[in-house]
Amino acid sequence: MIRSLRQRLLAILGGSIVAAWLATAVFSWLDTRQLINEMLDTRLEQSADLLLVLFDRLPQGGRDEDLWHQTGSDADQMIAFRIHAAAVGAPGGAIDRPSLPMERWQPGFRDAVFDGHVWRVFGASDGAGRFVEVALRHDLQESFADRVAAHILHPLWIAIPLLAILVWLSVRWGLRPLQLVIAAVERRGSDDMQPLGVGAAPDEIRPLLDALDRLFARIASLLERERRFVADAAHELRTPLAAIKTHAQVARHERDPDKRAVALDGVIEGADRGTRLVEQLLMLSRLDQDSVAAPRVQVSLSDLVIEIVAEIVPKAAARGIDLGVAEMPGASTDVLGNPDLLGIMLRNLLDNAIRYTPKGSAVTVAVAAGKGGVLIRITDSGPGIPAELRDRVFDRFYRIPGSGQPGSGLGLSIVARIAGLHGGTIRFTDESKGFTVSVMLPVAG
Amino acid sequence: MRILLVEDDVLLGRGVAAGLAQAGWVVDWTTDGLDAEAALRTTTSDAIVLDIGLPGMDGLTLLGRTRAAGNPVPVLVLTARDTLADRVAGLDAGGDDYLVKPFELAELQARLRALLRRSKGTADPIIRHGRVALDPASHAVFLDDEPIGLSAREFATLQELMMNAGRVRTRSQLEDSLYGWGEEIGSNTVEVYVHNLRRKLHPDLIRTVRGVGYIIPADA
Repeated sequence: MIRSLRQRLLAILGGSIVAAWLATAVFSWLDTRQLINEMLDTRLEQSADLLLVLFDRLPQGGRDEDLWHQTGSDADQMIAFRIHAAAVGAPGGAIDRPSLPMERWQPGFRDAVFDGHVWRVFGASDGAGRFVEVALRHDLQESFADRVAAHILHPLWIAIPLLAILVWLSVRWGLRPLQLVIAAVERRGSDDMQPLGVGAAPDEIRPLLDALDRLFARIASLLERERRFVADAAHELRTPLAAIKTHAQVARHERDPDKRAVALDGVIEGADRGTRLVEQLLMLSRLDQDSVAAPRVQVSLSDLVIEIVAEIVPKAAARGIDLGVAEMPGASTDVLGNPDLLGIMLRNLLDNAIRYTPKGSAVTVAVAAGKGGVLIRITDSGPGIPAELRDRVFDRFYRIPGSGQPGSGLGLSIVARIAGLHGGTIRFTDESKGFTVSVMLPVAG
Repeated sequence: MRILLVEDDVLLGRGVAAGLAQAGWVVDWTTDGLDAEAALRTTTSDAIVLDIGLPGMDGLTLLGRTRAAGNPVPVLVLTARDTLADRVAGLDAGGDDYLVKPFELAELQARLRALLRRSKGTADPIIRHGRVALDPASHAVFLDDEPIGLSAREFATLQELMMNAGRVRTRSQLEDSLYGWGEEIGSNTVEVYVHNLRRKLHPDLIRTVRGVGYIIPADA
């Protein structure tokens, strides 16, 4: 496999041209030789005819049957002939064959050996007892044909280097659009994600450029998402940091011990918020790896719900919220999953519920086992999430404006990611008085 | 001096409000853009510290609408967004200054002082009037270069009158610059502060405009 497109084209074109050239040369060679041989044969026939016409004027001594007369000094022209007359004018009509000693006379062409050479011999007779044979040395005939054929091939020899140059130039010119595209790709900066612009590109490269452009667009949107995520994360971290710094500076200049204590509490609260945010960011970044769902074990969701609710009840009570569990099914609520992650998911959902529901109201968790899987429903009497914002609340850092609660906007992103890792789905529904978040987790996980 | 603080983050807002109060300013704090716009219509603030990301109405919109309404109040934009484009957008929308979170409280106070000074048409950080000199940064007041001890509200009253020298400040204007929203105002507290100022400095410094308020006459 040749890796270079240019070498590949050169090899293919060069090979094809050499093959075509060889075929042409062989055909011309054979064709020319045959033509020359036919021409020489015709000459032998004509000479034989001439001899028959001149037969009676030839010296009688030349009628010695086995004596070949040779004419011409040039090897090419060298022709031998012999003549024989059989009882001219004998009765009985035409004489087809000479009587002895010219037994070996044959009409038409044949090859014969004499004088130490192979000869091409043509025999003719006038049908009246006159027999002639004209012969041409076979090797001379062949070499003549070869020389003529070789002559015919001369232009083809010139074609070889000419074609080589043309092929090389054609490949070079033909690949020029590719070079331009390469140069265009090489020129671009690492953060330049604009389309390459395929206006002038040939049709063959266009699909590649289109694919590249689509890739650039995907990478650009990925980079943009990453950039926005980092910017949002920095923004979210800056606010607690600013709060810590401000409260610390207030505390340093405050002489009133009560006010200083308030400011120092602000420092601690800010540090707690920053810590929680960092933990959530780390959690999200861990959740981005798909392998995080492992280990997958049987998790009883009803047990898990009771465990997490028990953990959060004190916090809910501190806010004056009645947190409880309802309708636990008798059937198994086991799903295959990561108990730690599922716990984080439940904790986040319950935390949201008790934070956004008014004081003195109730938050109820219910678990139900069905054919499709296990359904966890968390119902509160809070304002819920406006229908038009329900798609957006899963976006990282998105916070419903005016919610009045501190938060990073990462909690529901984490919930959605954990549910997704377990093949689950989340739905929001408005109740007659309140709001329900349902998480459906398939048994198989 | 009365500062309107618009910051939706409760923790940070609490800290900034405390820090501005330490500088001797009266702080009105709101966490919502719409509330802030309402406050701007009903209360006269000497400066605004404005966060960009706000519920109700974002800070840049609020700023644009405030300027469109012809309100020239100095605005210091406070935000976590620090790209060049963000800063340019903040200033172009009508902001006078820009601070990126997290910031130094002392810098916020100093920048606000500079904005207040400029808005009153003076570049000298020390406000002088006759024999009296007032330094807003250090909260010091001098009479003939001798430091005079004043309470925080006495200082605020004097600063309000000196920064508006030549203009009458009504009683309610002075009260506005001394008390934030919801603070109890005594019936004749302004009179008490003015009386103390006359006693500690000199009797002719502040003149009473009967039935209206007080004035420090412009330097002759």
